[in-house]
Amino acid sequence: MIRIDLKFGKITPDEAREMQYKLSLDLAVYRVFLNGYSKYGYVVFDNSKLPKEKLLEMLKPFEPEVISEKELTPQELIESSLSWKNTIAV
Amino acid sequence: MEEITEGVPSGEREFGELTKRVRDLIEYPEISEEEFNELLTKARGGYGGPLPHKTWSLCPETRKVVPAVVWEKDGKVWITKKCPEGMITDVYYEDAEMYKRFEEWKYDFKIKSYNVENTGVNCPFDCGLCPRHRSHTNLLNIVLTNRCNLSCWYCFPGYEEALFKFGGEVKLAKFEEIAKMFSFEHTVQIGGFRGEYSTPENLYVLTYNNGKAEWTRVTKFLRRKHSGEIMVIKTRTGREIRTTPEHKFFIYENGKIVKKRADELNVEDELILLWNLETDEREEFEINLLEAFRSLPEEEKEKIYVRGISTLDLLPLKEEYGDIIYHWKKSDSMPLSAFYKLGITEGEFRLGRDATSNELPSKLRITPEFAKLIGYFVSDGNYSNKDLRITVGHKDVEKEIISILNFLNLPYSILEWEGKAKQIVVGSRLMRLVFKYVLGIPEGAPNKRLPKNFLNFPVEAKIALLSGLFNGDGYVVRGDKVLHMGYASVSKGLIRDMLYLLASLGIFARVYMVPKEKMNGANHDLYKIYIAGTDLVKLVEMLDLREGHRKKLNNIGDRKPSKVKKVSDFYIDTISEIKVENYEGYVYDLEVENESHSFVASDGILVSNCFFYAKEGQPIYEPTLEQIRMMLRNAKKEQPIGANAVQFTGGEPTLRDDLIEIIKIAKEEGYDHVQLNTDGIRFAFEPELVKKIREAGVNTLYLSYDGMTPKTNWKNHWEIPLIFENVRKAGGPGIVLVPTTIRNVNDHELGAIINFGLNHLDIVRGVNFQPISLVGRVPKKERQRFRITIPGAIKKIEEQTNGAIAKEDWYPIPTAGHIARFFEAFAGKRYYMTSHFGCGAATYVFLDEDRVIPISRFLDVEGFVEFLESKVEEIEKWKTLGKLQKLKLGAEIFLKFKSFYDEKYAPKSFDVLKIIREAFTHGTYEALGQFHYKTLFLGMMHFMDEYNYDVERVERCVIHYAMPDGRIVPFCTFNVIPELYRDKVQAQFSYSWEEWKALHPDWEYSKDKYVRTREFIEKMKESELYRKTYIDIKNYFG
Repeated sequence: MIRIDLKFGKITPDEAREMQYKLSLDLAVYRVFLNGYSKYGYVVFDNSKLPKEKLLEMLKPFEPEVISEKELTPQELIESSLSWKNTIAV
Repeated sequence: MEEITEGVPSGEREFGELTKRVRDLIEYPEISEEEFNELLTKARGGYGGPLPHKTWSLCPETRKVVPAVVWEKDGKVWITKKCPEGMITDVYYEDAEMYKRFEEWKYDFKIKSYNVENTGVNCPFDCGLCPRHRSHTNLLNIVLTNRCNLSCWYCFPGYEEALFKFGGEVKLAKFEEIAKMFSFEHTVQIGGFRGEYSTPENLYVLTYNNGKAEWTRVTKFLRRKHSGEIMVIKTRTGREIRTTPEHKFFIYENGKIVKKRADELNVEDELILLWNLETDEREEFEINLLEAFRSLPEEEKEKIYVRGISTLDLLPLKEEYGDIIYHWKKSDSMPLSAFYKLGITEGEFRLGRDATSNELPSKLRITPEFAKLIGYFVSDGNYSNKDLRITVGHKDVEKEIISILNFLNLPYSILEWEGKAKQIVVGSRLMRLVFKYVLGIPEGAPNKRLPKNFLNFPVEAKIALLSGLFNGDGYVVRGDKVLHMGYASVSKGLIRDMLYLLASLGIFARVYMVPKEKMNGANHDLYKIYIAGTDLVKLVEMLDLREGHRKKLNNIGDRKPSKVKKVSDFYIDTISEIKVENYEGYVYDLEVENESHSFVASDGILVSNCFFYAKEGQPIYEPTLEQIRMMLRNAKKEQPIGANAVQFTGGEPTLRDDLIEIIKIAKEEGYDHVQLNTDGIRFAFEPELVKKIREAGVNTLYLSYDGMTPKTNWKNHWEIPLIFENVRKAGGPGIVLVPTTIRNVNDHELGAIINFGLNHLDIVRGVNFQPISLVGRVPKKERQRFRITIPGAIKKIEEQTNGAIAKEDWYPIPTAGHIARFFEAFAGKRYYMTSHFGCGAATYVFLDEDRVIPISRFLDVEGFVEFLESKVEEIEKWKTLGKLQKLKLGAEIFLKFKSFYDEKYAPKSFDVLKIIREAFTHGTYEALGQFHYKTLFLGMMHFMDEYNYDVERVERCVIHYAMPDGRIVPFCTFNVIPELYRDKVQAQFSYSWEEWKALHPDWEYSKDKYVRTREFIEKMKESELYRKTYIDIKNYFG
């Protein structure tokens, strides 16, 4: 599993939402967030089922730039989602 | 007395019967795009606020998130949005006055932890919980399994047809005809319907495989009884199909293929149909007449002789027939009936008939000449009681038919009467039997069909058959801009056969129908096939047409391709009409092997296969104990307030063998309230299990209970008496009855359900009505018919309880939340119920001797809650207060409570004030437990669907699902957008069928299914327990 963080050259909020929906349908994708306002996004996916190149090709119309990439295991993803690891400061 | 439905409960038959009559309908207002835009401009956003109110919603088909307006008209509140698929309006709240009253109690909150890293700006696609979410988890749902003990299914009427391949032979056959080959030895119940099925060995149907039409194996052939509506779907190119309303079709939409139920289809939807069919290339096709004649009527068999038998050993027949066998041998001829007793299946013989010299070979080849003769007969022939007759209207046709008959060595004569068309009489009684019984060409023009196995004919024979047909009843239409070839018949079946015949030759044709009303003196509708464009060129090149046709088709010129969108062997066609008919009888369906789960039926229309047996062979989702513990802990540790109540759901959670362990894990993780969302059927038959789950820590059985009769409560009407008895014996858990409330289905029984709960107050804690959430694509007329909202249900309850429980007695969830929070504070727990005010409603009713008294009748609830809110900080410190401080605060609260309390209307049979005083002054939460035995909690939770979806409600949802990937998701996104949440995460975390079977080698899917037997129903009906449960009960609202 890998996580890639992206910056987009051009993407509107509606486009971001639609593309996020489309990517979310894919069983290989575990997390995806595309922010059309900040032009930032990230995707966590199983690259053995969805090659990175194919993912980037899908995002091509939005001029994506990969700003970081890291590998993680499914367990690490779950751990990072737990409530007590994500508290908002008061 | 209601008809008994035995088998695995499913509800489809009951639903069909219940929905025959429409008692009332909500008329949805029409609103134009301009009016919508105007409302949107005026509407304000932000939680609550006056109407019109701006929010965001979801489009059912395109899944776009779009602005929506919540607005008021005619005393009701509506939600409207503009989707790419059109303007969509649904009723949001049936009582604007109640909406506004409830809105005053809105209460906002903010969680301080999250589970997904995003801003929530793409809500509801950002769920997890995202940092934007506004309510902590009041009730955590965990799906324990996708296995289920109940079922749902949809079918074709018996007379509908499909293209089948059986034993290598292709034929267009009715489902009821194919059904005769099977014994339906297996039973099944799906969604309330009892049915049967067989598992064919060698039966295939056509399926869609990336645009190619391919044969796929039928793994199950099913049937069940149906009484009710059938949908009739017609397309622009004249195709037609009939199915039950639930049957799914493949629709071409925005470049994708999606599925839709028959009753969701709209005119202009695009179906996928077959136009090209590749059949096995055969050089010849023979019919074994000796085998085929076995099915002749006995009196016909008696008159047929088998010749060429002189070398056969006839001695085995001597005992039965005597010395005549020697005569047979000498004359080289014996009766067919006797021949069969020899058991000979191979060999070349000749067949003749009494008193005639004409013979046929026992293996009859379908040559082009013979096929053409068949074509002429189908077009213009009829049976007399002795022979075949073909009417001829053209000299060249007459000449050709005679030539064929001479070639085939068939006897014939010509009949001519003045003023009537000439007839050629084919004087072979044997051939008459062949046409009628072996080729199966029916009598009568409206019944005409092509020979049963026409698709197995060699190509030349098929072409000759077509030539005979078009030379007989075909015609050419030629005008300045028009050129096509057509064929007319009053037999719809014949036209269907011809479409398949043409498809097998790669020719596309259209069909249209001329109603009999438009033709003077006509008794039948007329069906016309027509072929034009490049398909016409292809056809003309193939056929051997008579002179008249050839003259008209001379200089055919360049033709254009037909204006249909083709996808390899299929094409896209628009629906032109949808009607409904009634049908009683067997309906059928198939389960096929192919991954696309599709097959071609009727006039070549692609439909979905059956998903009965709740996806046997599909992945099984059952989170492990470790995953369950993680999910529980994840919600428990939310900030600032963790979850304290969990509901285990499914599928059917009681199917899990490790259920007790799971419950214990929930208690270990600190959950005070553990609920099981169940149909309760296992508890009816396993009293020990009830005791075990109670001891393990289940507080509440959240029990399906949709009505008071076997029809309205198909799920567990017959099992409820046993469930109740076993719960009583085990001393718990408490039961909350959960009726899914549907207008025109069970909305007439809401008062009776409350009455039922009151009669079983020792074990029933509450009734939680759930107005229906309409799953999938639901046409507007269906939504108008079935939709009911919280105020609608409340109104029905007021009517059905004769005003004992009135509209004013209900409060929004935030109010009930204030009260719950207050009581939880005594127990040292923190608790908020900050759902959107439109999501639910609640009240408590007290049973005082024979009087039902809602709490609002003797307590100013709103006043008291306002007071509690002013004391909230102090109350939340209750557990840490010293004894004197508790006494002081308790006394203050009690005195205030007394001021809101009206003794005149309060219950007389127990002292509410005393219980409250003891609770507040002594701080004993347990004292309040006495209320349980005298009160019934009544709740309403309206879960949304795509039509009334309001993102503002989702943001405040308090009922969440935990997922094994670490996310926690609101109920109405988990279930309304299953492709992103429920179904997706279950697919990601499921065991494949093979993995599951390897882990559970003794498990069989069929064993999950509960089968209700007739015997059980009869026994329950007569039982004392049934009587005590349903019949010998008081009517508190009489």
